[in-house]
Amino acid sequence: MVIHKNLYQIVPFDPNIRRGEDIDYLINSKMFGFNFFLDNKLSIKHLPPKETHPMWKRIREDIYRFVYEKAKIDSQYELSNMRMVSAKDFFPYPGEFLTNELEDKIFKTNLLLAWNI
Amino acid sequence: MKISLGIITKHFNTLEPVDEFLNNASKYNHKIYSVIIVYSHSCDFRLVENLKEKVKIFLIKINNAPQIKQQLIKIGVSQESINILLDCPSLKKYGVVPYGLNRNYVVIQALLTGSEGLFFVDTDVYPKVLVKEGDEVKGKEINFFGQHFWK
Repeated sequence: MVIHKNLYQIVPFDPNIRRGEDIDYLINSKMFGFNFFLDNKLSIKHLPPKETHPMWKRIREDIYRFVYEKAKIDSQYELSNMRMVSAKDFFPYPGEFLTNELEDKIFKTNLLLAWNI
Repeated sequence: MKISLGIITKHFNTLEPVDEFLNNASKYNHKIYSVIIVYSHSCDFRLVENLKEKVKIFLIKINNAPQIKQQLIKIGVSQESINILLDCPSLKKYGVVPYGLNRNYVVIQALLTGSEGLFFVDTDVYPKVLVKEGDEVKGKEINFFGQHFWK
């Protein structure tokens, strides 16, 4: 993630975000009128460490963050120096997880986990 | 432009991948103004000394950054805002730090020390891509900073 001081002197990271802070930062930035660009031509070698937490725990963390981010979007109100954003502004990702279908996605994901599919 | 590299980690106990990114910048003639390392648990200070020979280093421990707080107060940030942005009760209680708060340490240090651009790199990434040559898959070095910033 690369950010210019014009952005980070106005928009901080949300200190309550436990994971997915970079994606959350895109939402915050857009609220303050900054567009973020995801360049699919950029590459990097990623060697993640072995996962130490079970799948359900990682999914739970994702559920927490999407619920939190959806609430952030749903609870916006008009402010002079900010713009209102919607889930559609962030399609396909993370927008798909910020709509009213989130609860249904969580329910179905948990069913699949329970069935161990 | 003053470009800084921002790293957040639990334990700063290896030069990888900071060293690789610094060498990569040097190889492709990009000047790195500083490296901002924010750690929460432990730090091998010999490594920091080693890095200081190459580049300006700012080393910050979560919940132990009185200089940053003093500077923020000096420029008019309220104590309440400082607490929201930087205080991490979960570190003491559970040994964990929310990533958002972690990155704020980097951002604020960058602001206070005059950085103009910030590259966040995770501790498990390298300035390389995987390419297939014949039957072999190799890591090929790329102009990491150039590709991201100087297009």
